[in-house]
Amino acid sequence: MTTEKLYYLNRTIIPLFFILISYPSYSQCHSVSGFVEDSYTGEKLAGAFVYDYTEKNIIQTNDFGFFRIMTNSDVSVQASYMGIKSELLRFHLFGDTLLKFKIKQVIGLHEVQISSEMANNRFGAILGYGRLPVKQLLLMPALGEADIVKSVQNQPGIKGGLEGSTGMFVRGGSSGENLFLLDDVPLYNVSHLYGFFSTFNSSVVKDVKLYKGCFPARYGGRVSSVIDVRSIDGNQEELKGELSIGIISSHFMAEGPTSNHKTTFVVSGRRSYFDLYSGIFDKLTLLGLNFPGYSFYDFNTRIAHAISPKDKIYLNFYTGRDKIYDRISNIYTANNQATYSEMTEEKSGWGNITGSVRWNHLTDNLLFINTTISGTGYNYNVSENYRSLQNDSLAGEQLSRSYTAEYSSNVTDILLKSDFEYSFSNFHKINFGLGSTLHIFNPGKNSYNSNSTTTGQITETSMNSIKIQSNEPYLYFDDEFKAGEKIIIRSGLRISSFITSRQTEINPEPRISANFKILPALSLKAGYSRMFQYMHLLSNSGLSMPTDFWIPALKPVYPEKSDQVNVGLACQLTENADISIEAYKKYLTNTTDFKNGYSVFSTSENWYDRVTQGKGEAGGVEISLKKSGKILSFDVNYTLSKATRIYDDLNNGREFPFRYDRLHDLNISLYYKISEKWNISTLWVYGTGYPVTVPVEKYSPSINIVSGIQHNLIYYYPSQNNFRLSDYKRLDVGIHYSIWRKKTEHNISLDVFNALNRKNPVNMYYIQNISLKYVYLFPFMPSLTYTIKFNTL
Amino acid sequence: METMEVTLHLPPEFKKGHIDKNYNNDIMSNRILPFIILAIISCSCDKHSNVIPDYGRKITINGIISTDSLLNVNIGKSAYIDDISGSAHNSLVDLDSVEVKVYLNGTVTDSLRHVAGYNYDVWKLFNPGNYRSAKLLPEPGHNFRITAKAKNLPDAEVTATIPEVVQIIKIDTTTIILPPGTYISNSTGVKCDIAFTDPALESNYYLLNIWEITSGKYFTSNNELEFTCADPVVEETLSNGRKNQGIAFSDKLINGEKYKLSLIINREAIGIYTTENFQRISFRLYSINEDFFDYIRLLNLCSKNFGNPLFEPVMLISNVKGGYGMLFGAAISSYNITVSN
Repeated sequence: MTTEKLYYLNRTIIPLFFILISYPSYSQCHSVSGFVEDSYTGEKLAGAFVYDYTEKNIIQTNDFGFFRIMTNSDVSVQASYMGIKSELLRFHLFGDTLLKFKIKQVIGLHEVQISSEMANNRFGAILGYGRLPVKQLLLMPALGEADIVKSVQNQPGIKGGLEGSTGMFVRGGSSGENLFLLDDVPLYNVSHLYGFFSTFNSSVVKDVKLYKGCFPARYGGRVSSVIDVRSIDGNQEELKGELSIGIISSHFMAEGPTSNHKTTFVVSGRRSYFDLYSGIFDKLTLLGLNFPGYSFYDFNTRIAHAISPKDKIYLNFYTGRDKIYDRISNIYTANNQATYSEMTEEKSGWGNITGSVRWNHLTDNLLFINTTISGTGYNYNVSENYRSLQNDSLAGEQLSRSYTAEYSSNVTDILLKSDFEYSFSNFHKINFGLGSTLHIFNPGKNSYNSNSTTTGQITETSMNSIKIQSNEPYLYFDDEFKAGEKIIIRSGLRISSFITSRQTEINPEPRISANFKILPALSLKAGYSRMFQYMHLLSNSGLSMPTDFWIPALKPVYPEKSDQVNVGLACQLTENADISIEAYKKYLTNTTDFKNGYSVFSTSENWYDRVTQGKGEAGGVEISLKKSGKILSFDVNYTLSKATRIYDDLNNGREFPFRYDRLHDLNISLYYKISEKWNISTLWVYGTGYPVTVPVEKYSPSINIVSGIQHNLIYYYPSQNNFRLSDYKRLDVGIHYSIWRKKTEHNISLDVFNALNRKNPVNMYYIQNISLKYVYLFPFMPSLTYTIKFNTL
Repeated sequence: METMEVTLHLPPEFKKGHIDKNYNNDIMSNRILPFIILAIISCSCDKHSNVIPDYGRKITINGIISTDSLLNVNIGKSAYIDDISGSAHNSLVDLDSVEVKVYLNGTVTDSLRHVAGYNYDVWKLFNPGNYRSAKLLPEPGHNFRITAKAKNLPDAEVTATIPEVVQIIKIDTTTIILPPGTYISNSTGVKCDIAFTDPALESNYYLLNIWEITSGKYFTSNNELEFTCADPVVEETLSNGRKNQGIAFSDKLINGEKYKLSLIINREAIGIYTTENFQRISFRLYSINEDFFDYIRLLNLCSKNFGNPLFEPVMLISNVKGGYGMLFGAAISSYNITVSN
């Protein structure tokens, strides 16, 4: 660097930087910092507002309920959470003060946001961000039980994929481009029962944040969305419990403090019981059919310990697993002297396991530090055992044969990270941090062994795909600067990297956004963000199948990149209604898909021979209208969008619609409180039919190797995803009844999925002798759930 | 630092279970709710209809133009995807009254004639074409353009080039006892080592199949002979669902090398069509181009994935302009051996 340049840097850039970070701080200010808590449970309230009337400033608490404001000696502050606003608090400030606000939340009543809070939410929130009200989500009708991920699917810009599944396709992105975080730990597969339940047990979820547009720099590793789920810390005041019994599954939850009230715990579990039904059906030999057993479970536990007012540690553990198994056995007897028996047993299982230790620390100079060390793993395995035994009493012979075939794949991560948060002033805040993730990929391991007394042969074969280790270190900073009361500018940079023994990739990921208040109730927003993703999910048609597997972006497979620009308007219409309009354009580079005809089941080829990379584009407009009331509330979400893909190896190199492209997407959710005990909720979903690839003509092949296909014909597909299924429409209804007793609360929910029994085709294909076959999934599906909560206040 | 705790009390109207009857908008809300629900229900009740669009029919041109027979192609017509009538399927493989012209290296050389009483066999790997030349024998390096015109159908044309031939140098045979699990235990097989030299400095693709040529007193017939091949170069197996009739491979493991490819013929399968004591077995090594090799690979994937909704459909390639199908050129090297029954 030349001397002139250094001089210029010293004289202009560095002073300017310090002016910017300090403006408009006040030399005589003291800080008021602390936490906002629920007074009944001691739960830290993320996203609560703290109003400083002296400085005319509003601060929102972070994920751990922490806030900090700089103010003058005469303080006038007030806290608010979900519409519950306190009396004004005035006191004289002599020095830096630590506060603990305790807010009495309303229990059993629908949450109402007050107008000023809504306006601040709308103005302050970045584009493509939503904080989802968990209690409200749980009241919406559901298939089986209330599910966080399915509720997220109803947000504008998000397509749910296959009916009833937990697949998510955000703003034209694929299902593997969403980062699911449970208490800062990534989860690789968030589905149970082939995607019809998510792994999040809603009874222990405190907060759900969704990012789909302007991403803060602290998030990375996926290009389309971040779903940041926080679980509850545990009740600090008393022991509480919950037991819920449904037709498909049941769950329990217990939380409470230890004797010193410094340590809290949460334990929850959930289990399905299809396997019990199938066992009974098998014993009854119902319809002469064989019923495979199926079950899933998950278990969460969390311990939080407050070491001091400024230090708190959290221990989290989660495990969840799905199991499917089938056993067929037969015995044959010939002339009462020879018997032949055989048994085939098939097992398959998949699941996640995560654990983390987290330490929150507030330094004396009020730097908030969150340090996490965690591990997460996902594995899938399938096995088949066969045994046969032939006994011939006359010949005195006994012959046996057996074989075992196994396949497994897994991915394991170890993460270490530290996040820092500091406010220079009421107008200037920064977040910064660094971390690293060690990935261990094992995309597939096959083993086979057999034993036969007939041939005397023992065979043992084992084939491993190469186990790959990679490191993903990163560092970032996020800067939030309020230029007066009308402008908020957020800028950030994340430097991400991907390091393996073969290659090193380093990529800058800039993020910038600005909010401008045009009128008191109307604000204009714009932003841009770039994201990189160093691993790809190989999946069949985006279904949430356990066989889906993650592969690293090792050459010749490259990391995926997204560049997204957003523009939006947020407007408060009335005291309790607001509307937001967002437009986005997203460019995806190195999207990864299977080559023509390949799938996750094509195990004869290496994974990198099965995939191809291309580009994607998505654009759209999202409109969200929300009205909150104590008797009636509704959300209307509409999305007009288009998403395409282009690959050299697919569709003859021509652009084609993304599999989950939907021009119109509309959903309306209503909540209506009939009386103190009864309430009803409805969800109506409308969407343009998804595109599918269907043949339009058939003709004879050049060579006859198309066995199994009707008349040895081949089908002509003019292009990929060339046909639209009929529009998707569905009405769900939920009726909830609640009664309160002295120490208990009883809830009975009757939910009806697809109440009008509409047949919504999710796919179509051809089978022999029956030309066109539509795939429908869920007809009218009622479910009944009873929940009892102990020690409800 | 000073620490204090502040409890913010809830206003009395927010207590559990209490409803504010005078809350603004509630009266209006209660009125509009039934209308919203009715509107939703009426929108959800209609029935859907999915009809695949019909873009009309096209000529199909299929087959292999090879150096071991007079030029012939198979010309048929496509059918609408939902057409399951029998007549539609006959015309799929045999369309008569088509004007077919052949251009050799850019010059009109011949017209192909339709064969009356054409019989298409779905179990044969290759069927002879229903439009044949009376004089034109393809040679390596020939480039053919074939045009087809038929009433009420769009014109179609296709081009095919004959690759250079790769000769089978020799075939060594050994009689072996077949391993357990292969055919019937303890039956015998003929292990054949087929030697050839792959041309260097270019990508080459091959197809190999075996014919049993039966010469009876009154007739001569050719039948594809089943064999097994576990050679590492083999990438695709050509099976009609009943038996393996051929293999396809590229030179990616053997580029420029002299190579011996090993396969096994089941001894029991030889001579089942004749009472003669000796049987002539003909090995044919087809030199093909990359498109043909990809076509075989995609056909196999198509066969494997068919009818499974979890798979994306396989989109087959077509080299016919204005129509559908695949016409390829192949240079064939044949090598005959005689085996006693």
